[in-house]
Amino acid sequence: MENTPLLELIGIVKRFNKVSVAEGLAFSVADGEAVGIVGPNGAGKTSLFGIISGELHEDAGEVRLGGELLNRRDSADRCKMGIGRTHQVPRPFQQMTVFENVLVAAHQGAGLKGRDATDLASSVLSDTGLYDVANRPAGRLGLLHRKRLELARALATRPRILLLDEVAGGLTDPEVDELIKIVLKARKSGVAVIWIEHAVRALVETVDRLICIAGGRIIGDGKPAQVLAMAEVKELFLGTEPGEESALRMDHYASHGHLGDGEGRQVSP
Amino acid sequence: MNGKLDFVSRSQYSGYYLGILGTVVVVGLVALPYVVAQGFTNTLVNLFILLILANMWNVLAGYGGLVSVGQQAFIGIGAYTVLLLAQHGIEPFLAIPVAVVVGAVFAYPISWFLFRLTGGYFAIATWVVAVAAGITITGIPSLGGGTGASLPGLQSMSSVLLGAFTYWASLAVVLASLVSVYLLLRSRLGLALTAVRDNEIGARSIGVKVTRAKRIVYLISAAGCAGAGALIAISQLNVQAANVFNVQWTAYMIFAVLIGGIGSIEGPIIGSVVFIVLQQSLARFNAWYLVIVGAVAVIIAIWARGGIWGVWADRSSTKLFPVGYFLRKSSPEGDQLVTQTNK
Ligand SMILES: Nc1ncnc2c1ncn2[C@@H]1O[C@H](COP(=O)(O)OP(=O)(O)OP(=O)(O)O)[C@@H](O)[C@H]1O
Ligand SMILES: [Mg+2]
Repeated sequence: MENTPLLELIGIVKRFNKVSVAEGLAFSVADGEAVGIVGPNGAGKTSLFGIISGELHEDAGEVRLGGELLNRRDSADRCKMGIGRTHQVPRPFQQMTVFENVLVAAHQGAGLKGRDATDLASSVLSDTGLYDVANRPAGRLGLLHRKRLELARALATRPRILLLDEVAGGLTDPEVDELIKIVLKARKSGVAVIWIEHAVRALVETVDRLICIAGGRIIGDGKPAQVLAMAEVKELFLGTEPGEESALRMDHYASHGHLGDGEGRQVSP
Repeated sequence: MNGKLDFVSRSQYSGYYLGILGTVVVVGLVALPYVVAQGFTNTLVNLFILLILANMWNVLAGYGGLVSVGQQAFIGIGAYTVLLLAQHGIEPFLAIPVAVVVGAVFAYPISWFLFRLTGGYFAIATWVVAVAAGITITGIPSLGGGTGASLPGLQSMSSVLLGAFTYWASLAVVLASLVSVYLLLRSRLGLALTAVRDNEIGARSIGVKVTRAKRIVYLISAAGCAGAGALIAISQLNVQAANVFNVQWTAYMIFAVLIGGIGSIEGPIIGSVVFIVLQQSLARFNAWYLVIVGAVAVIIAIWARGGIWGVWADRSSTKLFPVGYFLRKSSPEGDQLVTQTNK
C-alpha cells in the first residue's frame, strides 16, 4: 500500500441536465502534494470539489481517500476522514463569532474537546490572521476576512487534504501575498492542497502541479510552467502571461457580476 | 503574543450576577402561590405551558431548521399518557415525567419517517402525523373516544391546593425545559446546532453530522411538548382529542417564538410573556385576540426579523443565558477580551 495516493478520482462523470461538468475526470493527489486547478467559468471546478467533499453526487466514477471508497459517505464523514474544504461563496455562521466558527470545526471535524479544541482554534486564528477579530460576529466581516475564515475553518478540521475554492478571488495583491504565506505554512505541516484559482500567480507560487479543466475534461496536467505553455491552455487564457491579471479572471467578473455564481446554485445532497 | 496565554470564557461578563438574579427570580416564583390570588397563578400556568412549547419550537425550528406544524401530536401524546396512567391509579403529577419520556419514545420512529422529507413537505407531514395520532386516539373508547374523558385521581384535593400544585408542577417543567435547552446549547452539540442554524451546508462541510443533531433536537422537542401536554391535562382536569391535538397549539408556539425572536433562548421567553399579556388584555374581544396577536407576529416578522430579543441583541451583547465562547488573553492590565484595538 506504499504507493496508494492520498486522494484518487476515477472516471468521474457528472451532468446537470445538458450541462456536462465532468466527463470521465481522473487524477490523483499524493500525500503532501499541492495541485492547482484552473479553467474557464463553468468548467466544473467547484462541482468537482462538491463531488470530492460529498456535497454533490457523481453520476458515475469513484472517489477514494487513502484507498478507501468514499462514494457512500456524507460530507461530514468525509470531513472527519480528512477532507477540508472552503466554499467559493463563503458560508460563515453569521451570528457566531469568528472564534466560535473555527471552534465548531475543531470540535466536529478534528474531533477535539475542551482545551484541545480551543487551543487549536486560537492557533488557527493566529495562523490565518484572524486573531484580532476572534470575538467579532462572522456576519460583520469584510470579504478578506470572510475568505480567511473559510480557510481557517477548513484548517481547524485538521485536514489531510485542503480544498481551496477561489480563496484569493476579489482580494488585492498584498492580500493575496498574505494568503500565499498562509497556504505555504499549511503545506509545511504536511497537508495536501488542491487550489482552484483564476489568478494563476498565487498557484504558481504555491503548487507543485497544475491541472487545467475545460468542458469537464482535463486538458493539461503537469508542472505549472509546462501546463501554462500548452497551446490549448494558452488559448483559454487568451494570451495573457501568468502573473498578470488574466483575461480569464476579468472575464469571470464580467460574466458573473459577483464571485461564484455557479456555487450559489448548488443544492445540498 | 497568544497561544499559551489565551483562555476562553463562556460569558462576556461575570456569570455571578446572573446566578443571583436567576435564584431570586426562581425563589420568588416558587413562593408566589402564598402571596397572590389563584387567578394569577392560573394565568401563569398558561404562560408556563406556552413557554415550554415556544422554547421547544424554537430549538426545533430556530436551531434545527425543522419547521414543524405538528407538535400538537406530542402535546396529545403527553396528555393521554397522563390520562391513561391516572385511569390505572397513578398520581397525575407523577405521570408528568413518564409523559415526557413517552413523547420522546414516540418521536423516534416518527423522525425516521419525517426526516425523509424537507421544507414544506416536512411541515405538512408533521401535521398529517398529528391528525393521524388524534384520529387513532379518538378510536379508543376507554380513553373517552371523541368526547374526551375527565382526569381521575385529583378530585380529593382542595381546589386551592390543586391550583398551587399545578402551578409548582408547571414551574418545575418550564425550568427543566429552559435548563435543558441552556445546557444543550452550551455543549459541543449545541455549538454545532448553532452552526446548523446559521448555515447548514457550511456546518456539514466542517464535520457536523447534521441529521443526527436534528434528530436529537426533534426528540427533545417532542419530550418537552409531551410535558406541556401533561400539564394541559392536569390544569384542565379533562383530556379531549379535539383540544390537545388542535393545531392552534402550534400556532401559539410559533407566534410566541416569532414575536420574541427565533434562534435564542431569550426570544421565546419574551414572546410568551407578550403573547399572554396580549391574550389577557384583549380577552373581551374573544377570539379576535388571536387575529391581533397574529398581526403582531406578522408585523414583527416583516420589520424586525429577529423579534423583540433580536432588536435588543443587535444593540447589546448582554445575554440572559450565556452560551457563547469568548477568547481572552492575559495582559499586564489584567485579563481582557481579544479585540482589534489591543494588538
Ligand atoms: N446545482 C446545479 N444545478 C444545475 N447546474 C449547475 C449546478 N451547479 C453548477 N451547475 C452548472 O454547472 C457548470 C459548472 O459549474 P461550476 O460551479 O462547477 O463551475 P466552475 O468551474 O467552478 O466555475 P467558476 O469559475 O465560475 O467558479 C455551470 O454551468 C453551472 O451553471
Ligand atoms: Mg467555481
